[in-house]
Amino acid sequence: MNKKCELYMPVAGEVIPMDEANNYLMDDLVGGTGVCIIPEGDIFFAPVSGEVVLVSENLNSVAISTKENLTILIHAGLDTSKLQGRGFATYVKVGDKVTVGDKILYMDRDYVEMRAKITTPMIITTPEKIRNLTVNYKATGAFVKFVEISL
Amino acid sequence: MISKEVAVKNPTGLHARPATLLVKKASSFKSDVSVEYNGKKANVKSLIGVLSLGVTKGAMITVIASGEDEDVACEEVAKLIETLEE
Repeated sequence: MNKKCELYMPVAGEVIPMDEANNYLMDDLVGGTGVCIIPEGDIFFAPVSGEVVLVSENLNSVAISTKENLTILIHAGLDTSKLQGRGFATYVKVGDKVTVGDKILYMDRDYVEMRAKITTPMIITTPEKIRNLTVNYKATGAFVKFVEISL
Repeated sequence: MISKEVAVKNPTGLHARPATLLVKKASSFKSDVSVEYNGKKANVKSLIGVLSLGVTKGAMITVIASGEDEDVACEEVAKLIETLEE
C-alpha cells in the first residue's frame, strides 16, 4: 500500500538542501535525511502530528514520531548545544501528543545568531522507511506543506 | 556480551554532533551496541535513542556490545566517547 506523510513548515523562512548547510550532521546523512530552514521567526511549530519522543537537555531539539513510525527531529540552529539552553525554550515534553501547528520550541534568533548559527536542520531519523522524498524549496510561510514523503 | 564504563568528558555531553559520530561508529559493527546512563538504555545505532539519554559532561556511562564483533565494537565506541572534544 502506498502511504504518504506530509510535513508542514515549522516556521517561516527559507528552505535549503542539507548539503548547503555545510554541516556535520549531513556529512553522509548518517543521522537521517531531510532539509534545512533559515528561520524568519522565533517560534517553531509542529511540522507533523504525532508524539513527542525527544526534548533535548539543551532545549534546542525536539523530535516527533508519527503514526507511520517516522521520526522527525528539529534541531534549532547549528552548534547551539554549547549554549546549554540559553536562548531556547520548549513548549512540550516527552510523551505529549501534538498536532500540526502546535507550538513546540522557541529560539531567540538575535541571541543565537551572535553565538552560533540559526540554520535549522529538520531530519527524518528513520530514512530506511522512506521510498521517496519531495521537497518544495520555494515554500516560505509557516504552516505551508513543503515535504511529501512516500512510504 | 561485553561492557565497559567510560566517562564523558566533552563540555556539551552527547548532543547531536557527538551523537552522530557515535551512531556512525556503532553502525560500522555487526554487534548490537547500546549505552546505559542513569538507568536508561539506548541503542547507539539510533540518533534519537542516544539523544534521549541526555548525557551531560562528567557522566559515567556504560557501553554494552553483543554480537560477533562485540570486543572491537565495545572498545572502539568507548574510545570514541572518551576522546570526544567538543
